[in-house]
Amino acid sequence: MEHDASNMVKVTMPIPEPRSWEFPAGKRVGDVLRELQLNPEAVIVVAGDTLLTADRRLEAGQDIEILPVISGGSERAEEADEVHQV
Amino acid sequence: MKCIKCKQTAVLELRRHNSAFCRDHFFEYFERQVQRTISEFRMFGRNDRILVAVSGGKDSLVLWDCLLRSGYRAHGLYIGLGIPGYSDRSAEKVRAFARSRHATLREVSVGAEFGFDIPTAGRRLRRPACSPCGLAKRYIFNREALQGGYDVVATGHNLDDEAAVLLGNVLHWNTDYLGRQFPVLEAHEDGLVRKVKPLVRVTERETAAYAVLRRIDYIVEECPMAVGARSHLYKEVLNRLEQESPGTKHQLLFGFFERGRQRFQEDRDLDLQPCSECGQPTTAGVCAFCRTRRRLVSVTT
Repeated sequence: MEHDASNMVKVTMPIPEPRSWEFPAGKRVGDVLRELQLNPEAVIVVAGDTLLTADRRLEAGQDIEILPVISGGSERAEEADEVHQV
Repeated sequence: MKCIKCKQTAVLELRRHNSAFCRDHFFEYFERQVQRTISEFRMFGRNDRILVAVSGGKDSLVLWDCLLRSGYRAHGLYIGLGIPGYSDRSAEKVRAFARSRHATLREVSVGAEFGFDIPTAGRRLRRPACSPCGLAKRYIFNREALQGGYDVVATGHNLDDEAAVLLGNVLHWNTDYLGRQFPVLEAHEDGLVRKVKPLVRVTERETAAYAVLRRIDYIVEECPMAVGARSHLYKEVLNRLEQESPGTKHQLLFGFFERGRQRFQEDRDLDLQPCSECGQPTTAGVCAFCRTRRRLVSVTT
């Protein structure tokens, strides 16, 4: 199925390495995440200065960014041993 | 999807609470969760001086932002770890945040003060860089808090961080660690400052959402030293469980606090004395940080 280029929405993800895709306007955010095999618990979806829930539909002209939220190093796995450095 | 409070368009769904919130009601929810944690665990009061350990990442900046908004006396502490590129970019995020809020920021550079950076330390010690990094940070948190006369050190560990630590400790049956994992680490009269984790009730996704909606400019890129860290795998596994069964992470961690932790607790009376080299408290003659610093020097020379 072909899509009108002006009706496509650019979706980017900055990490772990910058990636971008195009999806047709009207597609639901939840379907985008499913297609990209991203767990909705591990990302937020940013449109300008707001966030989109899974039921929202992409709109032509939007810039969408998917931000992964997992952070922290293996040091944190030792954090319970926090009786300082005695 | 509508906000459950005002029926405006929701910006975030919280399946674990069977809720969705608009921007303003999400702020209200989030700040209430943080305040509830501070009160329930008696972390600190309005008159306490709080030193917030800030890395430039979302969690620590969100914590600092929340505390300042709530009127707490919260100063920041940034530690320069000497990670090429990443440390400079994260320091700039922290400084910009402090400037924009007219907040007090303390800075310590590991390289300038101790003569090594974290990537080099990891290589020379033949250990993951996160290991000397954690040691240096804990050492500096305590020292700076003591020197600055702070009542408590606050870190940005969230529900995902703590649930991942718990999972790791259970998988390896680290019973010592299990007995000590808690959102408050009490002070010791011989020079250990109280440490608290006020974000332990909110998820990593919620802190990221709060940061974006509050326009807190944080360092999005991952620490290059932490790529492939085991804790990331634990978080992914927990998020898969959370997706299938919302509330799993909270049940795991808070269930442990309520019903599991006491089974592993031991009364340990720490016999602390000043480190013969730096004066910080230790159970040995020379503290772990100074021992590590010695090893680094001996490897270099």
